[in-house]
Amino acid sequence: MTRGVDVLILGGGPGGYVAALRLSQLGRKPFLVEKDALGGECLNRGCIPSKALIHASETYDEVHRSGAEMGVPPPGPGLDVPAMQKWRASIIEKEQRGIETLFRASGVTWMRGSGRLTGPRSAVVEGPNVPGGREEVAFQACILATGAYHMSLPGFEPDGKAVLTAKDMLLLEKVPARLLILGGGVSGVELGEHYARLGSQVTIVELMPQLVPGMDADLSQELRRSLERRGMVVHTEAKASSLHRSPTGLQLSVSTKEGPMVLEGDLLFLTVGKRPETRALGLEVAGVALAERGGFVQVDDRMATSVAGIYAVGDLARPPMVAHKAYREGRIAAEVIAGLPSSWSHQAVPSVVYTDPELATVGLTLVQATEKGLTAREVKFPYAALGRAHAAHATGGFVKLVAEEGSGLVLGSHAAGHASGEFVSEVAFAIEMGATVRDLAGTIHPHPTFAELLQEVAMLWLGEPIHVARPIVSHAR
Amino acid sequence: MSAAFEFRLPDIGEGVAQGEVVKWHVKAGDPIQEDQPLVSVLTDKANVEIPSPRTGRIVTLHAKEGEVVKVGGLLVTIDATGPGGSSPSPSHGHALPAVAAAPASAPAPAAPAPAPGGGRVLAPPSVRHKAAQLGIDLAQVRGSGPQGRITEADLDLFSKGGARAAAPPAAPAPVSTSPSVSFAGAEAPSPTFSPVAIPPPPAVAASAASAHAGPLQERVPIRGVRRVIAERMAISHARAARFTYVEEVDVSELVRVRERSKKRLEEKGVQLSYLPFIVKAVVQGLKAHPGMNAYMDDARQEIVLCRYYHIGIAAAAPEGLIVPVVRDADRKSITTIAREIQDLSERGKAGKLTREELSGSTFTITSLGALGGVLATPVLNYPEVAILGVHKIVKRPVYAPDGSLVPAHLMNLSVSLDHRVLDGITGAEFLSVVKSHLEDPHQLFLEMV
Repeated sequence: MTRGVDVLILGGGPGGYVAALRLSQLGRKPFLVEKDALGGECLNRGCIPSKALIHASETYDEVHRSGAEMGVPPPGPGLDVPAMQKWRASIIEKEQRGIETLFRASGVTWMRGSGRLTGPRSAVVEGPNVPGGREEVAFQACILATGAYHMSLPGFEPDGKAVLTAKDMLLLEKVPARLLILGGGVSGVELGEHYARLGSQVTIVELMPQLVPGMDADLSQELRRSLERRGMVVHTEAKASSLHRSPTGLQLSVSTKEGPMVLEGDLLFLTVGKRPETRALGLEVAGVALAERGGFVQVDDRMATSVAGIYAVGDLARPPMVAHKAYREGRIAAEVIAGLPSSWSHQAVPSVVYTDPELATVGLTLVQATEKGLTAREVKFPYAALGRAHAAHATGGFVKLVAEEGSGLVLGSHAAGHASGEFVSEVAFAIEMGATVRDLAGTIHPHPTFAELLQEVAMLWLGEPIHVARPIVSHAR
Repeated sequence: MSAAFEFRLPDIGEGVAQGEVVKWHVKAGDPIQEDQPLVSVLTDKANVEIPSPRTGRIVTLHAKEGEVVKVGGLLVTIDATGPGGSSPSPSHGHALPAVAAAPASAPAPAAPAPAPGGGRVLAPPSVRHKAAQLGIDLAQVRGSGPQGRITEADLDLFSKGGARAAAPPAAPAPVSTSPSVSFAGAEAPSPTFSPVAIPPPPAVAASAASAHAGPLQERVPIRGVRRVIAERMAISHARAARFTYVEEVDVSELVRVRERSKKRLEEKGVQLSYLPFIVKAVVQGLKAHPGMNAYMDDARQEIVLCRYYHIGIAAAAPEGLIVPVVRDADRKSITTIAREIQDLSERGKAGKLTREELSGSTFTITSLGALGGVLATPVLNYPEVAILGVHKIVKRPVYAPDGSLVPAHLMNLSVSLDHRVLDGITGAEFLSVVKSHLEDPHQLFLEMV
């Protein structure tokens, strides 16, 4: 029997579930299929659980590193990893229930199963939770939101024991003594630092010349310095060639600029990037075209694919692979399906890396602005000149502001330091509004807060700094 | 490996902020060779042909013919085949792929973009949302906010204009704002005027046009030179405080002088009109009153006095009014000026004048040729501060000093000036110098170089 649905959504992550809620708000009848758990990678295996653990280890670390100085001595060695895991699980459960509650309240129906297209207007859903194990679906419109999968590496395939994925890393009940990490991207540095805080000896191996490739080089460098101060070992421009398992642990052979070396560890965390989850999605059968690069589904600014009525959002559709971009794309696809004149018109997608220092970036770097033919200038304001940073024992790091000469238009901001992820939105707002540096500087920021850094860096850009003596300026080329 | 190359309108020359796409020589899907003509773009009043900076295939044309693109604005995406392509680096905090820098073979290197943000449309998200609701392309909206930011009020204004366009203007009303000149001479039969469409009262459009809109009306897009004229005239009218003064000149002697010289020059292939004499007389007037040979720098609130005499001659061209420039008119003979005007006129009609030949004037002369009329209120060729209108020569009886009636050739001159910076008396005194040189053209020979 074929189930007729209005809008079929494949995937219940940030792109899919937001699309479902928005469609229902607009009077359409979405039917969502999720093969695992609502909330997708972000809620179940990514941003949320990692932030829960990172927050816990930060708290532990802060008390152990500087509690005594602040008059809060650590209460003994008692690190309780199982309790930490329980705390993580409770967060995920709460969030999942939240989505289910929203679905019920909005009348969104969903089913657990694997969906794939069988034509431009039809799909099939399979799985043990599907009545009869299999159901044909005919749809008016479809949103593909299946996300991305973690890439494997031949010779280093995750086995759930010695070689682990990000998902496995979030479930560890024991802190590994020696942790090897293959891949210095976002999850490599975030989880690497987390385990270093809890006592692991962590070694990161990254193929590219810097940690978090693609990130503003200053930020990446600041992070590397901080990780190394903590005792972590970082090898960049290093290529892993083989992995040997022995009774004493793992031996990872790596070729580096300095020559070959063998790194010892107890666990290997493999995190070498993600690919759009287009496997077993029936794209060819339905005629949905892929983009030229990266394995993404080709979409336009309305999130429409090459097949009328089929849309794609989130990690599946285009970079960057971040939840907040998927949220927005899910919303756009829903609105377009409901006949609203919606399309992607955003100037900037901010992104945050949850390390110490926290890295936050939005808009153009100085290099990107120059490549675009803009005449831009960048200034850097240090956390050490901020009262709140001293009071919070967080004086490391800086905020950079990139703006166009002449017009003073805010083009981007890149920060490494405590709470930078919280105030990056203000710069995103400035960019969307077409605000100038004078607008930023002319807005009163409460004292003492970390957001004050933006006011200070804006004044510095204008050549009117109050809390630093000497402007730190770098010109393009 | 292929690479999408985004080609933006390069900075073509001094002061050019935008250009209008006149004609695409390619369409999406076409193969293209480096240096093959890509698009004709009209900047100010000159046509520029832009060659392709790359070899490859046209992916998307980002501007329609007739559309105005700012310098730095996206023109075309070219799929450049070859080893140049590279895979994109992971994007952080920026959803769009990095734009390829202009290659060395592009017509002009990347220059400081005059439009803030490299020509990006500045509009807050709320305005973008409303524009989408109203179906308005924000690139077509002029922003009134700082840096040209578009506000909701701008959208309202735009949508009202859009509504008026839906009930379009009736037959264009021939209203001459700026007279054109006929190069063949003041007496040659060259009737030209500049029709400027004026929208009818909304009530008329709504009631009469709604029932039988189609066949009774024709909608003519304002494009090319016409659009440039429209913008220039509006700016001039909005900024300058125009004052016009008219004087009558007895050119009987000039008519005789020209008659005598005409044949001799014709043998050399030069047509002698009255214009070269007027140009020389004007130069004398400008030398006596330097404040008239100037332009306004609004940004700095300064008057720029020019110590050179580049005289613009407003002329009718097939696409509309153009103003070619006779440079250093003070250092040229009447014959040279006559030859130059003839050459500029011929090439102007063929659309072959360069940007340089169409810009840089310090004072402008405009004439209606045979239809010269009695008086005009010439619109200033902004930012210049003065302009001279030349009218037809008529034969009338006048009283001679002895009280007898004699035949005379009379001509009116109208001078408009920017009353913000020049007082009426200056215009009157200027015109009296011009008048005296035209009434006694032998004075011109005394000044001859």
